[in-house]
Amino acid sequence: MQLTNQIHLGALLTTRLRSSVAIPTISALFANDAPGVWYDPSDLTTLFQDTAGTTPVTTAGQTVALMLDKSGNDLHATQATAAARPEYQTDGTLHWLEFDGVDDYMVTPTITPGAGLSAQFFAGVNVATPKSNNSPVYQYGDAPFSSTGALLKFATGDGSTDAYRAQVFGSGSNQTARVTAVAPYTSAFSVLYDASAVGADEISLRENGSVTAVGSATDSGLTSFGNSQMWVGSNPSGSANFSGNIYSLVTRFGANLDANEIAQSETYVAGKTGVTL
Amino acid sequence: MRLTIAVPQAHIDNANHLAMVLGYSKADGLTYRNPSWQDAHGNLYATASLPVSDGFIVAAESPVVRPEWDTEEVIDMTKAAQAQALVSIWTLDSSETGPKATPDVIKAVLGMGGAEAIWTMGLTEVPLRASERGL
Repeated sequence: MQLTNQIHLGALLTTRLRSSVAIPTISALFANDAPGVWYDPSDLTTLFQDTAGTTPVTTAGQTVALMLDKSGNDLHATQATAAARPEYQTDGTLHWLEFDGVDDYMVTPTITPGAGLSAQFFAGVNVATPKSNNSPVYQYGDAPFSSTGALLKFATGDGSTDAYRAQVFGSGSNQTARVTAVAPYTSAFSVLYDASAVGADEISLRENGSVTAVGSATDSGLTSFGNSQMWVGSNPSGSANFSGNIYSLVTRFGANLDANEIAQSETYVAGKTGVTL
Repeated sequence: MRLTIAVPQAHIDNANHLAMVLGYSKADGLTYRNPSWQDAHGNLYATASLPVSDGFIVAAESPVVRPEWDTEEVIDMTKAAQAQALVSIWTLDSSETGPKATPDVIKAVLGMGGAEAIWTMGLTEVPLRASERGL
């Protein structure tokens, strides 16, 4: 489905979003125009019931067709098909998008990371239902693992075993960082891809501020991320759908972050998720 | 309340025309995508799950009418009507004991969560190929 060119919200909106950013931790990640996205379901000014952005989300239970990107990159996530929209939910303190595990997902316009960049992904997630398939919370890149192409994803479900895992793929073998976990569970997850590393250190999977797994020893062969859309809550074909809640989602392409930047980002996401680090 | 629908693989195209009749735009023609669920006999289904109003159910059971947005007539009303004729809506107070999905019916379960409805219809995920999983 091509949604890339559907959203033209204009410079005024971009300016408003940039100026409304109150959390320097995350906004600083996108200084110097770093590619990536920042979605914040707790900010109702960024959620709309239609893809044109004319009908705001105001109460729990409404479906979300458009979620504005707060990174300043104008990479707003959309879902044009009514039945496939996630629901906004809140308990009065926390706010999240609920994905039904059947058909819900959103997709970004094409992201252009540029050459040779590392990548960082932070997300607050509740995994509600065990899934047998590898169901992405997010997936960047649509390359199947059988061919050359850049791909980075964080997914739940793993064949016969319930687990969560991060995967990166280039032109070699896919590299996976995997942790067994039985749903339901709620955590602040991070996936750190180091473009300068080779082998097991290439990808690192963190949960609630601590490393839980690193990549398999095989080099992914990834030299550069290509331009791609990012799918939230599904793989590109729609054959694997995430079941659960997303409280916060940040994906950034750029230089590796230092330990302090990682800790601050994880603390921010954990706070949005109701997790204490 | 939530409605979860399982469309047999052979009826996906027709069901997407019905989805456009009940929907808001041409994009609703992509409501049913990959048949990524299967019953115990290996029959394949595409699924959708969404919150609906009482008005939606009434519309779903009424004669199909081309929506105002479809000025270009992208909807094949014959296909939409054929799909509607196959729809069977199950609710918690239905006399039918179990709303199992079958290849000759578009089964819709009203009033359950999406995952629970899928399970109740006897469907499981079609395992992804290794090339899709990257195991």
